[in-house]
Amino acid sequence: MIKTMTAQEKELMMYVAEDATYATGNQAIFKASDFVGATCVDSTNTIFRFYPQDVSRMGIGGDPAFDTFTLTHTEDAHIEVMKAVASAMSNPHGGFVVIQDDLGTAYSSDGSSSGAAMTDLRYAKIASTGTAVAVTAATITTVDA
Amino acid sequence: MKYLIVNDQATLTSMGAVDQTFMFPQNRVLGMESLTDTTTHLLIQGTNDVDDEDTIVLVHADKSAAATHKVERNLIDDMVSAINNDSRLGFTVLFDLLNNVKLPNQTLASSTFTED
Repeated sequence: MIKTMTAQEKELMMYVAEDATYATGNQAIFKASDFVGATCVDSTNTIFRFYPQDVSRMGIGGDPAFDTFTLTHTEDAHIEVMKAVASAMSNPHGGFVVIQDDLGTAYSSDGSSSGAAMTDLRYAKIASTGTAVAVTAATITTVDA
Repeated sequence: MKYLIVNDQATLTSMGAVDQTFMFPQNRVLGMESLTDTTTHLLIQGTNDVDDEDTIVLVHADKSAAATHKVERNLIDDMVSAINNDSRLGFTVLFDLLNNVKLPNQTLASSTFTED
């Protein structure tokens, strides 16, 4: 009798695409359980670090090189961006969240781009100023890319 | 998994450098230790170097003074509550100088985050 695995962890997967071209290395899925931390890069960028997908997290022979995605956002909106991503990652039921996709600037009738940034996240306004927050670019760095 | 956020910048236009704003999972907390009579460390497994630690310094009233002798002990209780908080939002802000968020027994000014 053949048995198949039916157990399923309630893992939360986050999808990030750098642009609408979907070129090799421009898309990745990050597991919430691999999340290490997030910090500022500069006034408009926040980096999210993850244990690498394709090598040991033990960093044998040295520290592991992290997989990362960096979101380029409204100036000084780091806290709001972190909160939105944290809320998405904390879903105890797991699932699939689009952090950023497409980012195209023009609609293509062949379906290659919707001409807009797509995301499942809703960023709150900067609390101290009421400035709306948006993400304008995403950059992926993975060990395997 | 829930997440914790700290921000040690009080001015919006000063944000964006390293060692300022930090988000990390609850399970990366390594421990707490008394540093001085007015500061307590919260140690986190390194975000950029996993065999080192990131350091959050929480300032509090002088525990050597009789009137505030228990302040660090109470602050540790505050931290444990925040770390274990099963927040529906998915995150808990430990402290945020910009938006004046702090733990009950913490002194917000000069509380810091340093990434190793």
